Amino acid sequence: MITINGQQYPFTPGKTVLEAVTEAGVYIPTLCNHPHLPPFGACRLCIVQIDDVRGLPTACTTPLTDGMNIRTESEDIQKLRREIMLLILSEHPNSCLVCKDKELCGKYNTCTTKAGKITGCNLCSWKEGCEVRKIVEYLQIEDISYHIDYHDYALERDDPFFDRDYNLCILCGRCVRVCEDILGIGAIAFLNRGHATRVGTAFGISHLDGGCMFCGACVDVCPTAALTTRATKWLSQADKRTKTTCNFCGVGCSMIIEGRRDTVMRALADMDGAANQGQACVLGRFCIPPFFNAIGRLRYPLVRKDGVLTPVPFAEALSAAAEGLKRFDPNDIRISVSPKLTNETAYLLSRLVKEVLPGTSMELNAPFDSMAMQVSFRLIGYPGCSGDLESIRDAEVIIVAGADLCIDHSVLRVRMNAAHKRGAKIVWIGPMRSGEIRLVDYHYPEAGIPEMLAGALRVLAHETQDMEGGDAFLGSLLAFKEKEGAKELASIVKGKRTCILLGKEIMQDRPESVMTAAWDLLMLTQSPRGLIPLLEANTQGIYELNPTLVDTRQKGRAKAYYVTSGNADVPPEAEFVVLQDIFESKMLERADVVLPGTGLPEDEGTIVSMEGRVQSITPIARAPGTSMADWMIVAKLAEALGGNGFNYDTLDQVTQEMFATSAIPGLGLMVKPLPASRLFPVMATSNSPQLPASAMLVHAYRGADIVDKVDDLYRLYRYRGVVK
Amino acid sequence: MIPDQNETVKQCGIKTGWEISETESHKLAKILLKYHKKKEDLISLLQEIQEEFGYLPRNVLHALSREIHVPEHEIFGVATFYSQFTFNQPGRHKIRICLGTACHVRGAVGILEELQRNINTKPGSTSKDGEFSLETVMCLGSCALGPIIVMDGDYHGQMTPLKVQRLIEDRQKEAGT
Amino acid sequence: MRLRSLIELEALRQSILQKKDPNKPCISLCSGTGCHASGEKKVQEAFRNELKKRGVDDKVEVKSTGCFGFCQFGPNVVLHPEGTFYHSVRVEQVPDIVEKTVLKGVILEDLLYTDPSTNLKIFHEKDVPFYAKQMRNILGNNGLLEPTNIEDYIGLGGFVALAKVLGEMKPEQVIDVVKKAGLRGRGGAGFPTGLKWETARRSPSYPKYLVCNADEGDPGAYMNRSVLEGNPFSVLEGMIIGAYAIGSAEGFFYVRAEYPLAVKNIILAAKKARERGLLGKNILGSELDFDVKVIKGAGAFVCGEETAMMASIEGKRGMPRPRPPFPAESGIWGKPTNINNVETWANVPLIIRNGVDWYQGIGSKTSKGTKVFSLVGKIKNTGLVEVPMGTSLRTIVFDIGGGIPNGKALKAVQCGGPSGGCIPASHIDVPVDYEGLKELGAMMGSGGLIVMDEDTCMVDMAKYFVSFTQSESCGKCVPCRIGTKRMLEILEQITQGKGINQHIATLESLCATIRDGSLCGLGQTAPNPVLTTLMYFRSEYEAHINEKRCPAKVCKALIHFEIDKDKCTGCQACKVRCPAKAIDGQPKKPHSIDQNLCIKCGVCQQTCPTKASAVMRLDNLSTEAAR
Repeated sequence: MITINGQQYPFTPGKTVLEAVTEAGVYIPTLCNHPHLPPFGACRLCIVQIDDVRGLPTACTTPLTDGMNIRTESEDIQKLRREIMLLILSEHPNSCLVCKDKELCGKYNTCTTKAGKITGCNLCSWKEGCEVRKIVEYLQIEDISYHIDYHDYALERDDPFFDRDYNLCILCGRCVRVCEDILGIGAIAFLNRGHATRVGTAFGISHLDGGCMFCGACVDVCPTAALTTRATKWLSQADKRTKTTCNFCGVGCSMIIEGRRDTVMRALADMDGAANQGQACVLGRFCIPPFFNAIGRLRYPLVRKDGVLTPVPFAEALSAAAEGLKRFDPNDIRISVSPKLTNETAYLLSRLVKEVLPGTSMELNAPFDSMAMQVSFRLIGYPGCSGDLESIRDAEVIIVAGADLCIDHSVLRVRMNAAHKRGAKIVWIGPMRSGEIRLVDYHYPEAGIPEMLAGALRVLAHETQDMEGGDAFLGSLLAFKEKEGAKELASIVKGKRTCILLGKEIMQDRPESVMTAAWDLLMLTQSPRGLIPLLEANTQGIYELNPTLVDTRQKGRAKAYYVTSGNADVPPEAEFVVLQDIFESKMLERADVVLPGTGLPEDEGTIVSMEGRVQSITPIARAPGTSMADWMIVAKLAEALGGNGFNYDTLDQVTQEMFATSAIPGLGLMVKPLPASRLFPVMATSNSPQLPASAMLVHAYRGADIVDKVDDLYRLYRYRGVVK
Repeated sequence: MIPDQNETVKQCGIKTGWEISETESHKLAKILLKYHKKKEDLISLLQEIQEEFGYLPRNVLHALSREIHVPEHEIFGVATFYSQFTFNQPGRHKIRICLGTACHVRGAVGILEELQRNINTKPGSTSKDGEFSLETVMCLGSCALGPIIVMDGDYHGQMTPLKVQRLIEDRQKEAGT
Repeated sequence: MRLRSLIELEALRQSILQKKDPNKPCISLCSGTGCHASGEKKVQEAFRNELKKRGVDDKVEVKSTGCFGFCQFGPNVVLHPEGTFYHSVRVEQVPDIVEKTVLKGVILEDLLYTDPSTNLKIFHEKDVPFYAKQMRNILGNNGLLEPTNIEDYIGLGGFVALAKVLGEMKPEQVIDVVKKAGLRGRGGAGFPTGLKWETARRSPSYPKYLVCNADEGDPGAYMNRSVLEGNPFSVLEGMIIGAYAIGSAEGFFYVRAEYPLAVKNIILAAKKARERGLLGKNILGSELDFDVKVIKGAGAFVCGEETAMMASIEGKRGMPRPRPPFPAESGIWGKPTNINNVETWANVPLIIRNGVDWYQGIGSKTSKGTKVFSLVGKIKNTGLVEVPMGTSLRTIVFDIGGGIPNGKALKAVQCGGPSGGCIPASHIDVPVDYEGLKELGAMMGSGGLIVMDEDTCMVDMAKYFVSFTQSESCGKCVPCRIGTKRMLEILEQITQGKGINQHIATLESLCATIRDGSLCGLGQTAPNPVLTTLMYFRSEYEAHINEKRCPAKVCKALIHFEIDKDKCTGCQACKVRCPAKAIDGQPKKPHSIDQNLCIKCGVCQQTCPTKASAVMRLDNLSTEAAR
């Protein structure tokens, strides 16, 4: 048992005093502490009195021992805390903090008085959330007699996404620690010594030059307004907030989004997110409001009348679409499914095809994902990843091939870093555009991924022991040329639990060979859970609901197209096109009917992440104009086509029906069976059309490229050489 | 095999223009070999680099970052923490002045001020004409000779402001300035 | 070459002793950095050349030894076997010395040290008053061996202690001996060494690391340097014994980069030890594996703090870490680490060799053994002093140090550097041991003793120390980083004549905050100089604040220079040299200083010929006109 302020509590080993006190519900002021970060002990505010311990130790760094008697407040402690706080305030703009009229200043003052240089709370955008302010109030500090020092550092506003005003920085170190310890990037560091200490980059270079991923983790943990999100910092207070799941990529980060008057305002990483564990990336953290609020949203249903797309009521548009499609044999109809669609929408689409238009072909508008799902199905028995994201954290060797972890799936870096800290080795095959200095142990920059893997397999294959498919596999390797580095790769992975992350760029060169070789490598290292193709937001869910999705590049052309993204592949000879999307695109020139759908902040439903985690999307905003939820459009279209049982009142009805009847059972992680151990021959050539890197790096959301709508993202991608 | 630093920089796509010349690359490679590229030896590596180049050149640090897998910001953060490291080319004459307590008590502050006046530069930097670089040290351990300055390895003890003027004048005469 | 057993070591020792000819003449020159700075190398060369010229270079040995400690009077030479002590030897005097003293036995009286109190010449080193009151257990051998000559060291009894430990004692016994002897850490805190070793030994994880803290950062302290430069094997031996006791196989020497000779010598000494099988695997044929690595500091005083040093060894910024966990439980890379000061390690072989009782017989009740101090500042005999703990400060300053030069009065002695406090002249009889100094608000520290006379301003000293702490603070925790800055600002205002009454109360409050709130020892002890000067010299602060006067006439804003018209001869020397062109005057007529231009550099006072001594340094309350 331990005692806190006279009350007894049970003792749990392995905790710090601060953790124990916080769990007991007792308040201790802290500034440099953060639950996800290792303790630092710099601000000295969490001091406590402990029997038999000299002086006033800091609670955050003191391990809890059984029988401890702890006092969190006393005259001595409060006096010292107050003095320490006064020292902090002597170097942090504090007019307003000690103003006796501060209660009269309203909540919204900060938004009407936008200022670059902050000299007091009235000019600060983070007034409501500032942790310094909270502690000043707790300690009842009313006056400060020290000489006030303003560092006069230049404001840093030249980098994309967030501003930096180090005059407000209190050197708590959270930003440095989260970037280094959790993300494993280290784009900022403590510089200089003593009073001249500050946070910054080497030689003062920009964050773009310095390898920053702009994930926003530092902005999230900063207790003051030293780091602020440029796009949203002057927006007023939110009136709603909710948890949702980001669908910019397949990781499935749990986010908290905030809205005001039906518009999305802000997005933050959910600290309790199962997939992302409190982290996010540049897309989820910074791009949600600017993208979905950008100009060019489709607002009204349109029907082509006399060659001109004309706004019409939804009912008219739906019947026009239905009439159009009915003219064709279902075998000549192609539905292009965006990987961003929710499960419910995909479920209804599958019902549409099965029940109303049997014979219609469906394709996923994501070439890499299509290929990966097909091939993985063949290799492991089911489409998708062979393990969940924890296999990254548990791995001893992680190979990243053809991926750019700045653009997509950035949050996986957190697990890679955790593994790396435990001694795992990280191998990067392909161009490394971002400065993954810290994490990458072995870098093979040139292409030729199939040769690399095949070469490594050749070396490892000597140890093949009667695994099924051994002979054909061995024979297939002979077709590959020698590649330098392959031998080294073999020695790195030999005998180690391996995890292979495959990104979109493998589409440039024999992707099926790459995947097969990757799987064989995992087999030879006894790592069946290690195949991780970096899939899109809801590829997994769509495939669970539509197992017959084909790679239609082989299938041939159709005559009528119902596409859910404006960048779908529709041939010039298509006779009828229904477009259901959220942004204007070139497809408008071809579309006969346009149905405006919903984007992430307006969506409701579920999606399945690449690891098989079923998560909810909850709306906070209303889509513009008369846009309708995608699932509802599909349901009503099905009705218009004569379908039965599509008359739903709420989304929940669809969800429940889907859970009950489809392969998706409910929320949470879907556990996959262990794949069979089998070696597959690696094809020397492949039929896939080679796709250039530029095509692969484009980051589309439905029919629009995020880069086109968010200027700062364009800057970032341009800098990284991803776009011209 | 000495990796082509410039190629690595290009591969990483970071446009910095901090390419490293072949001689510099060789020098760095030799130093790295001595320490087996271990990041724990970062401070020793920086000391050897400064010994070899006279200061810490930006492009060499950049290359070092890639070789030992430590972000350059961390390297810069370590280098700026320790007084020994400088990022400026040293002057032709390197002056170190002791500001230890014994020397302070014997008037080292006045010596420093006189020095600064005469060579027109602040501690930690090099004079504009490149002749003198000035560094303060907290105790050279020759307290009997205080106040003391060391110029180019030669100890000049029991300094006075007058002696400072004469010393600098002599050097300037040699240089013809 | 390699000694594979204790027996082989002993055999080697005997052969060295037998080869020693006690009558063979030997010229030992002190080669510590102080004498080196005074030109020892040239003197050494001169001796060698002279002996060669006379064809006697095989009959007379020239030895470059460790630091003698008598730094004020270097280059120092001792001629063996007589023990004749010559000081301040110049190259021009070498031929004479060789011809007369070495070859003919004639003493050159000019080179002998004169006892200032008796005016008598002293012939032998041991009779020099500076040495007479010292007990040079640690430093004693410095003058008898070439620092990196392992045979010299063995010949003087080196590694006897190690042999005893490996041959007769168990690790726990070694720890017991160190505990019973009462050895306390010489780095400053005075923590019982035996207890530290025991905690490290008890720690369950491996590997265990040993560190020799040679980051002697206190300005004015150079004891560790002299031991490392002069007798590195003594430290090595202590560490090997420690490695055996604790169970460590890897040790580090963390040496300041400002000590290049110490670095060089310890690397060389380690190499020689390795060649002889005294470092590396199976030391002297035993089960002990131990080797050392030398790491150079990079200029950060805070790295003398244990946790900061460990961060530095790991290649990071030297920012201290909170304790617990303690280094003995979790240190470098999370492994048990035992850090001891150079002098602590050097004490170990002596304790093992001579026994607990011997050690307990030296020193005071609570602090056993001897301590090496660096006696610097306003003192006649600047140098290194080694005395039993508990010796009075008076003995050190006056009997050994020779008192204050130029007839000035003693004002205070700063003990413990920037972490310590000043002992005023009124307390000069304080016994110098850990507790004695602590009671007066000061601290033993690493042993730097800075002597200050009446011309030292105590407020300026406080400002100096706070400025030092400010520049060396690592910047991690709020009380030290920001608190010392606020303190420095106040002290600057006081010394500039802008002090107000409130300042003293604010200083005292800041001192309490910094002392109680800081993360590490640097911050926790940073207020000591301010607290002690406030305690003993409050009147000086008050004079600065209330009267705008600096009693010691140091603070520039509170003094001015004037030329005494009666004494000035108009030689124009000062006018020529004045950097601010503030002096005006016609040749052969009294000059005057324009107070508006004067920058108070003091060059004029130095340029003025001694015969005239016309420049006066006055406080702002007195002017010539007023007098």
